[in-house]
Amino acid sequence: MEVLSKLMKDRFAMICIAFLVIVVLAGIFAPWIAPHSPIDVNVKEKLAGISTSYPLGADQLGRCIFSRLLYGVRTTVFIAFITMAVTVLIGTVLGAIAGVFRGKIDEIIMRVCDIFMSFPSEVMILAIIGMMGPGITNIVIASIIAKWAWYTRMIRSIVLKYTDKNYVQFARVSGFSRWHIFKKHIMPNTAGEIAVLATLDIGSVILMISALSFLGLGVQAPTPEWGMMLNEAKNVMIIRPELMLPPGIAILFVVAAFNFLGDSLQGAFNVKHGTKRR
Amino acid sequence: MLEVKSVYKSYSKTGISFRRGRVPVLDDVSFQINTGEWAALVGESGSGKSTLSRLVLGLEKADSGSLLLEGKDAAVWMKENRGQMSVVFQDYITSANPAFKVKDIIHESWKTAGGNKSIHETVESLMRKVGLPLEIKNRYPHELSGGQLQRVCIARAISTSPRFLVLDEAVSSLDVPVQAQILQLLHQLKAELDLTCLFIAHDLQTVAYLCDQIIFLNDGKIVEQIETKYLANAQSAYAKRLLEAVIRFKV
Repeated sequence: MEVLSKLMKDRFAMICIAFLVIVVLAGIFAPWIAPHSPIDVNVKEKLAGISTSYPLGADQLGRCIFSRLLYGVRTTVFIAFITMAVTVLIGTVLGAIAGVFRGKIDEIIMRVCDIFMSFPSEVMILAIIGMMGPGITNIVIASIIAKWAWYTRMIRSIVLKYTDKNYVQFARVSGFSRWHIFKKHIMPNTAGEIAVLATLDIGSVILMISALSFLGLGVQAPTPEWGMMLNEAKNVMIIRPELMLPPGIAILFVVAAFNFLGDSLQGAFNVKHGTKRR
Repeated sequence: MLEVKSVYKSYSKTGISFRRGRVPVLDDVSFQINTGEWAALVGESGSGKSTLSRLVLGLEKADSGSLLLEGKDAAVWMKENRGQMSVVFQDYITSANPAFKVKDIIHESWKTAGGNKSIHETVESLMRKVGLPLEIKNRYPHELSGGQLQRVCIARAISTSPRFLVLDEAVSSLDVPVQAQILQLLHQLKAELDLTCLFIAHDLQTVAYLCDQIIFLNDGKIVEQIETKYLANAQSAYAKRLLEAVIRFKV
């Protein structure tokens, strides 16, 4: 609760949260907000300029860019959320098991992580998509496979950092169960750090999904996706370069908002920030 | 109360090498502390005293030998007597969860001891006992001074009314005037509570004031165990050397 109240006082964090909430709501309510269907081709309105019925103009196939942007939230941002949620879940469970129980199980999990981390993640993602074929589900699976090992490592090291603290040792001496210690001392402290990690990283997931779609490996046409909109705008770059702006700026703002929010969260979770030292 | 019988402990060397050596830390350590007695374990840095305290606390296992509490294996005793063993660490900064308020730190371990008195009252009486002002009850650890935080840790340690207390260099990282205050507090607690205590320290002055007997540990071996009142008659070369090293103040 103190984290929340501290976050409320951080005006910049609140702006980021407000912006992200608006973006997510726009994605959820896209069918009601969007003036046109995002995939309907209308050759008559090809490359139409900004007007009341086309707030951001139309692309080379006459599709409403504003509508495509709104529907794009559903693919770009929501896929990033799902990827992040699953990755963090796997990382937390395995990292906590490795960090709390140590010994053999820790060894096994860490060696498997080593194997996964010995490949550059981009190469691994491309290889997985190459095998399974392009598509939304496949990029999600590929990014989870590429990322879980790093998260497991990070979360294990965070858990270890806290198990070495004297208050955990004291709790062990006074006879608390492992579960109690984990719940009371380790989990609350690590949860903050994991939240920061995930918020800072979700921006890079969005970028990765957009990059893969830009390369034609991710979301397939005609599904609207920001990276793919960039790719399509690239085709008419010479005559209408401004078509690249809406998806580009959307990616920039959402990624930046997540990064700033991650920074603010870091400050909010740190008890020592914002209180006077006596 | 505590009986340590020929305990050995070694750590493996870190790093990758085919001839992995082990560094012996404790070598055939045996001693005994009687119920109600306060014993000091004195040794230089690296003599193995912290390792010994971790073994006594059950945080690590000895390679061989046995640790007995009231005649039972220490691990068994601790399971049967939850909250009966307690500890105050040297490093008070990491001794308290930074997200807990002072009152929560103090009453945390009651659950294991099954205390059912009103939390509010008992926290206050404990705080009074260790000489803490009541208004800091709702503060966080980083808002306290070192001496105050160490008092909080002592209050937490005695909150379950333990029978065996380990003070692991409990005053070593405090300023000298604060050390004196904490030692006074411990002296007072010694008179008030029915405690057996293992006080680990590296200088003689602190422990001579508090403890009934002194155990000298050097290079992982017990070199002498002597009652404090006969300290001047210490026989071993190491104990004599430590005694000579005591700085005498002329007032």
